Amino acid sequence: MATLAAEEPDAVKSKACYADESPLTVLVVGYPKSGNTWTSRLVAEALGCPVGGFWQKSSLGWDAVGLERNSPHVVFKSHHPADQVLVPMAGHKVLHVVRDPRDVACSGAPFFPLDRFHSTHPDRAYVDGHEAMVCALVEGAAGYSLPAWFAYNQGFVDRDVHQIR
Amino acid sequence: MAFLGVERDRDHLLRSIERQSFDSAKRRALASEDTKADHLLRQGKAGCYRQELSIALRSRVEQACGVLMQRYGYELDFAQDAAVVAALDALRVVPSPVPLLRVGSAPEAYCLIPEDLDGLSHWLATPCSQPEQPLREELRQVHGLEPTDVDPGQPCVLHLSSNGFRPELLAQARIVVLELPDLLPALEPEAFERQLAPALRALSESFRCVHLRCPRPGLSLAVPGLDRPLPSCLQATFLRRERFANDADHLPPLLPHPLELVPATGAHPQMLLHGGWSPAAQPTDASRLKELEFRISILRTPRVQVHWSPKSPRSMSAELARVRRARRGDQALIAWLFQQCRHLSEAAVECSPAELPAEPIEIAAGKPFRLKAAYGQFPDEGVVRAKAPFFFHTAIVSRPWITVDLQGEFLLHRLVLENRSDMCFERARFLFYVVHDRPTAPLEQGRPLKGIGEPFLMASPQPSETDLGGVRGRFLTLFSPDITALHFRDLRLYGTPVVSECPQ
Repeated sequence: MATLAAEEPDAVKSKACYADESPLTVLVVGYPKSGNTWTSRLVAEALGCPVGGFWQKSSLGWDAVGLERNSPHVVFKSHHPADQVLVPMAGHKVLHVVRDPRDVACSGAPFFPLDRFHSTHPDRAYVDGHEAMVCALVEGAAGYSLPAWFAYNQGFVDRDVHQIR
Repeated sequence: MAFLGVERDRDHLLRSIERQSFDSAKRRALASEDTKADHLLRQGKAGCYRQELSIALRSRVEQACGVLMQRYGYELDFAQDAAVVAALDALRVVPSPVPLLRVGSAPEAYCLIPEDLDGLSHWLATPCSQPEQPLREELRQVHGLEPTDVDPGQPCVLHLSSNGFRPELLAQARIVVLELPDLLPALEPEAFERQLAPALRALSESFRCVHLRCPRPGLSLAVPGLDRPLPSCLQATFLRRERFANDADHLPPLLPHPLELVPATGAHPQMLLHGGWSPAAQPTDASRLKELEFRISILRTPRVQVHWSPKSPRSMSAELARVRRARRGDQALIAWLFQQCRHLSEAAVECSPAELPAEPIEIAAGKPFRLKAAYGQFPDEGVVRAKAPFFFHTAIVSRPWITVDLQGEFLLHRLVLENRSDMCFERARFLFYVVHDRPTAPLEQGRPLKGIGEPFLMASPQPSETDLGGVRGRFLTLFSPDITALHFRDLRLYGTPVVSECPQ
């Protein structure tokens, strides 16, 4: 909690002391393009609290929504791997979002930085967004913050983190 | 909510779900002109991969993630056959960084390889792929490659078969030609794993496939999970991954490739390999033309013969009825050819005009032409001029052509063609052109003319006009891939002369 409090944006903190429920910090975490944004918004909507944006980011960013809601709770989203999440979040709630990796590939393809991928993978200069995304998803692409899907999710399975599918 | 340790009533949860539904979020994004949010909100439903991801990519994901996907309860499409499909992905053709060239001139023994032979001095062939003498001579004299069956210990072209595949030879190979004479095991995953998968996996580690062809007629296999038919025999050409330069303009695959040879006998249909075998959604015009050539070669081979003799129990009329029925297949093929040619004609590439150094002028009138063969007493040479009903007349031959020598290099911008004006208009139904620098026309590079539709193929025909896009050359050849005669009333060509730069 100490870590979170230090990282929590002021705009969120100032509104987090109205209701009578015990303060709750929820982290929605999952592989990129797995529906983390939507899940965090849905959870925040149900709790009646804001989404504080990306976890451990000092700026609010476009992901922060519902800041006007008066609530002791806050929801963050994250793509951190399991081993970087669970210790700082000890005592708080972590929801692991899982999505079919085939849909993840389709969802990520339009946003994949193909130019950069081609420049760093000269032997794959012919691939399109879908193939590049599948490459990253299958093999991992460290330079793109995309670990291998299997290893990433296996980390949460091994630690028995609560799943949302 | 139970997991979070809070309570919310059902109505509250339903309202939350509704407020965060895809449609609501999309409406909010549009109303607030939030372009980023709108961009991120794509389809809002699961299972889009069935439309967007190729079978090979789906198979690859399932192979890599299948264990966990099953644990999460996702249904795998290719659980049993994923390994076969994934291994066959090694045969998917990717754009080549260099053009392909043909090695060998016999239809039954040739291959296409990338024109990336600098620094290579050997053609390493395993015992089951030893070249015949004419090919050995071509390798030495034309390509500077010494045929050998011993590992030369330096980069080489490797020609081998999946029967007797030797993975240790791949280390020295820059280009690999792999013969796959029997792909039937692809229907039995266990046999495939034993006989073919190791070779394909070894190749896909370090190589990419740049060409694929059916070396001979065979069966069409429906491999479970593969979204395209697999021929029972294939020849695949691979190029080492390091040769795919990052900044090169890669050449889209041509399946079939214009350099492929049409078999001497067209009795057996070629298997055609476009579709899912390459990234191109549709075959290119060059491939369509080659496909036409293959199919016409089939058409030219008499497939149905009249078998009748006075001693035969079958009556002559019954025999003729049988032949007529059989020939309906040919009629269907002809209809297909018409359809393809119409498509080609309409889809002729609209090239962006090259920079015009001067106003194009008509340059064909008065220039000499040659014919493949002339009809009757008509000359096989002459000069281009407007004359009714026609200014030349070829014989009825296979692939008739007329070549116009412009007697100098020009940038060619527009071709106007007027069909014969009295009869036999339909003979011009398949027309292609090619611009070239040497007297012999590379017909395999032909492009379809535009406007070869009904108005062109009737009495008082309308001219066909084709934008040539500023292509440079000295000779223009018009030809038909059919067995027919060509006879035109006029041919007008608009271009600008190429001015040679003076040496400094």
